[in-house]
Order: sequence, then C-alpha cells, then structure tokens
Amino acid sequence: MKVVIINGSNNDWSPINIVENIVAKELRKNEWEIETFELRNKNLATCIGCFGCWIKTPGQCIQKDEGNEIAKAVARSDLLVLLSPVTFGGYSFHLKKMLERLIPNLLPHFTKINGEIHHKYRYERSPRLLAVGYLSRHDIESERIFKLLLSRNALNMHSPANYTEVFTGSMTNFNEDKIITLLKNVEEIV
Amino acid sequence: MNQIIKVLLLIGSPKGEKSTSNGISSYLFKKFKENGVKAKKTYIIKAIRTKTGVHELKSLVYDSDIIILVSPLYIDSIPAITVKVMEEIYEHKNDTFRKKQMFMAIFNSGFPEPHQNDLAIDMCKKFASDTGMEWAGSVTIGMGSSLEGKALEKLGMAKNLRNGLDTAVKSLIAGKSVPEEAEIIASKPLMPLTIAKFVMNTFGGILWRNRMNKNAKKKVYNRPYA
Repeated sequence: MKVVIINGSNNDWSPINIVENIVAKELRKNEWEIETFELRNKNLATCIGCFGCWIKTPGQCIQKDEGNEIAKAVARSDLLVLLSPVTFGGYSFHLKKMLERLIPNLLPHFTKINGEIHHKYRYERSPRLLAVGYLSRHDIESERIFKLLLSRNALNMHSPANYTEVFTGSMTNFNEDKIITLLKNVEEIV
Repeated sequence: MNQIIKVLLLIGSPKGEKSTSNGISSYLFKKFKENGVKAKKTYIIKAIRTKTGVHELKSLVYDSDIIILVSPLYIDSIPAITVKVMEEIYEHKNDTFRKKQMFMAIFNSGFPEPHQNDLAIDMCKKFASDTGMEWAGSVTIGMGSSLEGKALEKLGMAKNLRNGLDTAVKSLIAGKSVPEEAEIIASKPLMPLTIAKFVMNTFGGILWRNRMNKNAKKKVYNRPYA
C-alpha cells in the first residue's frame, strides 16, 4: 500500500514535523510504502488558474517543477496524509499551494455528487484522505472549519473516505496514542 | 466609523486583471467613486512576486478603513496566493498602529451553487476576527466564470448581484456592515439552479472541449500518472 505524506509546516520547529515523524514511523511498521514531501523547502509554483492542465496538456500542469512529481505520487497512492498548521481554519500557504497543483488529477467534465456539481476524477480511484492540523491553542471555530474543509476536499477529489484530527497546545508532552489510534482506524478501512 | 477615508479592493485571483474577481472589483470601484469615495484596487498576484510588493500590500491593508477581498474559490477555499498574504498580515498585525477596520469578502466559484463558497467565507471571518478587524459581510457567487471578462453593468444575469453590491457600498460608506438582505440578494444564483446544474452537467464537457487545443482534444482523458 502506498501513502503520500505532504507536510505543509512553515518552519523546522513546527509541531507538525513531530506529527510527520510519528505518522511515518507507525505506517512503516505496517510496511506501507511511504513518500514524504516537506513543502517548506521546495520552491513550487502557485496555480495560475490557466487550466493548461485540461486544455493544453491534459493531466499535467504546464509549470515544470516538483509539483508534477507530487501530483503523480498522489495519483498512485492509496492514502494521502495532509499535515498543516491550521490557518484561519484552513491549510497553510505551503499545503494549499500544493493542493491547487492537484487539479490536473481531475477532469474538466462535471458530475453530480450529493446533488452538487463537481469535476470528475481523472483516474480510476482516488486516495483516502487523512488531515492532521495543529493549533497553538484550542479554537472551536478553526477546528470546525478544518474538519469540514477536508470533507469538502474529499468530495471534490472523489476520495472514498476521510479522517481529520487537530492537535492543540504544547507538544512537549505529546501523546502519540491519539495518532496511533487514528492510523489504526484508517488502516482498517484502506 | 464616522468618516470613511480609504477603501481597498484586494483582488485574490491568480488571473489578475483578466479575472471575474477583477470585473466585480471594477464595478465596486465605480460605485464607490459615484458615492464620492476613492477606492484603490490591488492585485495580490502582482504583489507577491517580490518582498517589496508584499510589504507595500501590507502597508495598504493597514492603512485602509475598509478592505474588500474579491476572490475565486480554489479547491473549496481561499487561493494559496491569498492565504500567503493573509498569513503575512496576521503575522505583523501588531507591528503598526491599528485603527478600526472593516473586512468584507466576495467569493466566486465556477460551480453553480453559491454555497460552495461558504467555507472560504468562514475562513475570511476567522481571519478578520484573528487580525482584529470588524466583519462587514459577504457575497457568494456561483457560475462565476460566466462573468469573466465582462462588465457587470452589461449583464442581465448580474442584476441581483449589482443590486446587492449597490446596497453594500452604501452601507459600508455609512460605516455599517452589509445588511443581510443585501447579502442574500447579491448571492442569488445567476440563473435558476436546476437549469444551471443541468446545463453544466450536460454541456460542460463540450464547453471545455471548445477551449482545448488540437493536441489536448486527442488526449482529454489522458492518465499520465496511471
């Protein structure tokens, strides 16, 4: 089974990096094939909204950088793990930038899901989604938005299942059990 | 807010001047001017190219009384370039003297349902709250691409949007947030939702095909990463 971990933390000392290590360690134990991308060290272009990935080079962004490699890894994965500081309820700039570069993995054509219009998925299957966010202090509204955002992303990406967790406060006494339990739940379904 | 001095129209679309967001901003710019208020339009995509650009944009934001973000919906939320600017504004929010400021957000999505923009609006509300700005209201637009490159004044389908925006401008100038009725009117679907969904679901693929180059038409369903 293949998992892609995308780390959208803003700096080297972000608690999100601790979460990344735990997630990778646990999945490795169960022989997952892991690909990790730490976005803060990469100079990825932002989506320019040109739709070149649909009208010029179907399935591929016209901007030639590592964003295409990440989109490829995601297309081939069984599970996509998104790690990010919770930013106004959403993802960090780094992670959001990469998610926009996944548009090539969709088709321009439309379909209805739960009565809403969405784009069709380009590939046979889409990975399950797991998002782990970090907040320096407890914030109900940010957590609500973050959880809802992943479920909306799952709709648009045709992901068969999605899981969210938000951690708050100091990471010095970080309890790994919460992540381990979450991963067990994810692995049972994948 | 007794006297409005400065209005900033912050255009969040990576498409810049060619975007639907700019079309809406241009309409608002004109309406503020008609009401004797000088607004300033600025493009995030241009500002984020350099550190100086980001710095100047932040100065503009801190200096404004009313900030109106006009943006497309990208992957259920705010475009990355706009998130970047919001992160910067938040990070330096205590660096300068802050006056009372109002923040409004207008989002347009390519999908027919205006409510698909709701989460982006919630994020903007959170941003306003976290940066100490007063929330001034929102407008959500579906089928935003049908407005692209066209003057809002000339579009019959944009009548409700124009009416809502006109009321919004007057309220903001008076130092008040946008009345809920104006938000509702401006956010009405550009055409009946049932028709819009049928058209998009049935003919959307053909419309996209018409925009494709010769090579792309042969490879529409290409799976380069399979």
